[in-house]
Amino acid sequence: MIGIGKGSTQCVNRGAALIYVITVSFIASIVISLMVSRYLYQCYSIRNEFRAIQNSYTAESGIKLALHKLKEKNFLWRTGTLNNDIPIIERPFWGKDDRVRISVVDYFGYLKIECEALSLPKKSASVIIAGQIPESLRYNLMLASEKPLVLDPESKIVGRIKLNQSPQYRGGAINAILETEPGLRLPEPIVGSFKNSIIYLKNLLSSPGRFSIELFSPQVFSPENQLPQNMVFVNDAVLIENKSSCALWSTGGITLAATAMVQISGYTSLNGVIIAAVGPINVLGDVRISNSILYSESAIKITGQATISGVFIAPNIEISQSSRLVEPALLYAGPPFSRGVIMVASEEPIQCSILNLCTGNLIIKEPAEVMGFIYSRAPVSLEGRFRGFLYCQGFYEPSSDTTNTNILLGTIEPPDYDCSIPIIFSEIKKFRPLLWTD
Amino acid sequence: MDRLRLSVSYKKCLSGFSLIEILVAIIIFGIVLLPFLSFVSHQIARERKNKELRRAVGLAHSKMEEVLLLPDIRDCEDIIDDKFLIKVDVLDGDKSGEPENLEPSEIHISVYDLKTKRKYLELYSLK
Repeated sequence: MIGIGKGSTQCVNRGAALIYVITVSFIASIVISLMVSRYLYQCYSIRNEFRAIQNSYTAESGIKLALHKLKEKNFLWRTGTLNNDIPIIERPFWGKDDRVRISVVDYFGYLKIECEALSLPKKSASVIIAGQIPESLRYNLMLASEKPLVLDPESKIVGRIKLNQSPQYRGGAINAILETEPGLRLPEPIVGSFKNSIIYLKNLLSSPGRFSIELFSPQVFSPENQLPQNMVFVNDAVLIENKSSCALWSTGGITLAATAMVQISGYTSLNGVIIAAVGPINVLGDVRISNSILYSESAIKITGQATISGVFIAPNIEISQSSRLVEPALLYAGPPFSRGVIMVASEEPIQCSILNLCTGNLIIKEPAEVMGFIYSRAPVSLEGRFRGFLYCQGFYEPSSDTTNTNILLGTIEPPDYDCSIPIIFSEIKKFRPLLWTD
Repeated sequence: MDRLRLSVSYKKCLSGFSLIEILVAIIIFGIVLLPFLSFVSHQIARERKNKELRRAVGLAHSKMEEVLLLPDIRDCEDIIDDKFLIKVDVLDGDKSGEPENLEPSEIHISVYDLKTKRKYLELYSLK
């Protein structure tokens, strides 16, 4: 405005009006565009936040709907197997268009329900369902042995027990409701869920083509060289290590297969991973592993101060030193493996279910304290303390030459919590969610 | 000669604005500023509404969490801050048009503006 004039030579400010107008318009347009973009971003983020919340509820509702369907169908309904799943798509809400994809599969003795809301932003939820021991099988000890139970002076049984004949006392004490049934047999476990799940893991080890990454030399994964967030096949040994005590190294959604041994050590922290190895899997040090599957065709050895939950499948399993298992945890030695040994010798309490369907023995060494559920077709050497429900076909003394002695050395007591078990008996009618993840 | 020319143009520069120039400037500024200011005030109002909507999302979310934890729930209403009306509707066939014997039961949480009764949003979940 100031520069309005006839000639630019009259004053240095003359003719600057256009520049002022352009400058002011430019500043105004910047302010307007900033305000508009801020507003649009706010609208988008609020809408996104709302949709994310609604989709979380839709995914959770999918799980509730699946649980309802399972109850209606006596918990026999599945959408497929781990290998071949055909999820169903449902509209869980009356009069609404929200859709959810529901998958119900057997998952290593448990039941896994996974749901995903199909509108954006995608939200999913999953739950592992375990069984509760039915009243008809609620025995702290069920012993199906042709020989009478012999109680060592140090032994003790509390709770409710079922034997096929009266026990013989060499000392020891039974402070329990005792039932005897000649010719007693252990309830037959349903192992189809394990078989299907193990086929899935065996297939992983035999088909590197299914993996997105295939590596051909020994691998070291650490915080500096992280495990890729997808499926990795290593044609060699694998070391997963975290030397830094402060770095939390948590990963998820990883499937790792190795044709040789796998060692997990240091302060490694893993969550929700599947590790399958032809060779042994060794867990050492201060490792934290939660909600994971470890599968080895030779052995799993957990030592050090590891704290672990998940499913562990191998013919030979050893838990020692100060390592701990916390619920939900399952040790499985059974078909396709025929022979192996499960040994628990940890100084820390172990909270888990143990399913030993091999002909190898189950050893619970002093000072181990196991809480949960044990089913063993092979003789059990119980020197430590067991709190829970133990079904087996006999006890033996590790120092003896034979496993045919049926001597109980340790203590059997009721659990101090309502432990859950894999869904392995047809008598199981009560189920409970073990682990929710969103 | 050059010194004389400079002196003349300097004097013209100091001579000020005419009334016409000022009026034109005010009109132009008015034309530019009025819609700008109205846009800004409109924008501020819209942002305030967004803020309310965000609060409504938070209220619906916390109400849903609260309701899902309750063992038994019936239709109810709640007023928050004299501004929001939260309606909890359990689809149990107690109202016309609602399905009966829905299993698992379905919960709808709606948040309204208390004064205008305008619905902000609706959140729903199975119980």
